[in-house]
Amino acid sequence: MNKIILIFIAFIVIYGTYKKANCFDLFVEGAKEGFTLFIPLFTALLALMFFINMMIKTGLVQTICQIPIFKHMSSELLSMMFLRPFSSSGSLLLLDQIYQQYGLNHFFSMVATFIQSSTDTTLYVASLYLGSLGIKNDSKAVGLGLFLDALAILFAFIMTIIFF
Amino acid sequence: MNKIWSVCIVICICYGLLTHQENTLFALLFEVPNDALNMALKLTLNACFFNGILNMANGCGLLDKVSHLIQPILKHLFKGVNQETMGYISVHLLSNLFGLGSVATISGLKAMRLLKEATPDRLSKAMMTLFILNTTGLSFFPSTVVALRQTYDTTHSADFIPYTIMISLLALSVGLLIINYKYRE
Repeated sequence: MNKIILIFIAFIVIYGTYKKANCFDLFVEGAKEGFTLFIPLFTALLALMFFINMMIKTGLVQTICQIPIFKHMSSELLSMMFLRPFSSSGSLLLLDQIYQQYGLNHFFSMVATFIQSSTDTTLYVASLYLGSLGIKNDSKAVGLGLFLDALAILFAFIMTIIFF
Repeated sequence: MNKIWSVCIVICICYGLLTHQENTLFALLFEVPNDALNMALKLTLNACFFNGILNMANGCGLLDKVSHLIQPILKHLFKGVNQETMGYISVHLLSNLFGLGSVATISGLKAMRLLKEATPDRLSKAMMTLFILNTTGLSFFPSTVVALRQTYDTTHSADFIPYTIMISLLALSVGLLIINYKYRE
């Protein structure tokens, strides 16, 4: 991957020179624009991280998973289902715990693997793409994103039941 | 976003107070800005560099060439989007599929920014589509999960990928169908 990116960069500079474009100026202009992201990005991330850390550090997620209905399922798997839309590293840690506890090919491990790899952190993406650019009225987008995450989790269960 | 955020913050504070975790919560108030700053700084510096690279590519017409390659597929999803934005969207999708994270984030942000300039007051169909494409996480090679599995057992660590792709595609199709239905013109 690193090689590809480096070759990609060299290729762009070569092609740009061939097309008589001012690569240096274009690069600096792009970098300047990149930096304007800093304030919106920082503020959006501040809000998001506040939110995530509060959920995790107070152990709220853990407590929800102790509710009796969910006794038959692994509590890590349940935590993962709730945590995935918020935090990729958090659910990766949970995935690791599930692997340690049940081994790689257990039912729970396979479902967890599918959850981790076939969805993405919706709330983080929403903050990054919509929040930092100041896009308001995003409830439809976020709602749809979360709904699709839930759908993907459902598919993960179905897929594991059918194939494993 | 506002509702989820507000409700959860209040619930977490109440829960924290009830379980006597005031100190943890209070310490959080000082740790979080630090963590957020580090993360935002890393992302911004990354953004500066790769936006520079992409601006070069845009300036010499390379992005237009790239978008021509994928245009047949994207034409139907992103009607009415201008040429420059199409270029960034194409780069974004391709780099997401191949796991080139840094390039993907930047081109996605730039594409979203351009789309916002086109329709400043509302969330257009193109923006929704871009967002959903991102959040369903379609990728040919989920490198982090494969790497994690390899630390346990090197033989079958990538076997789950075909199923993952199927699930992502299913979720994506449902998402696209819903968007097309809601934004029918």
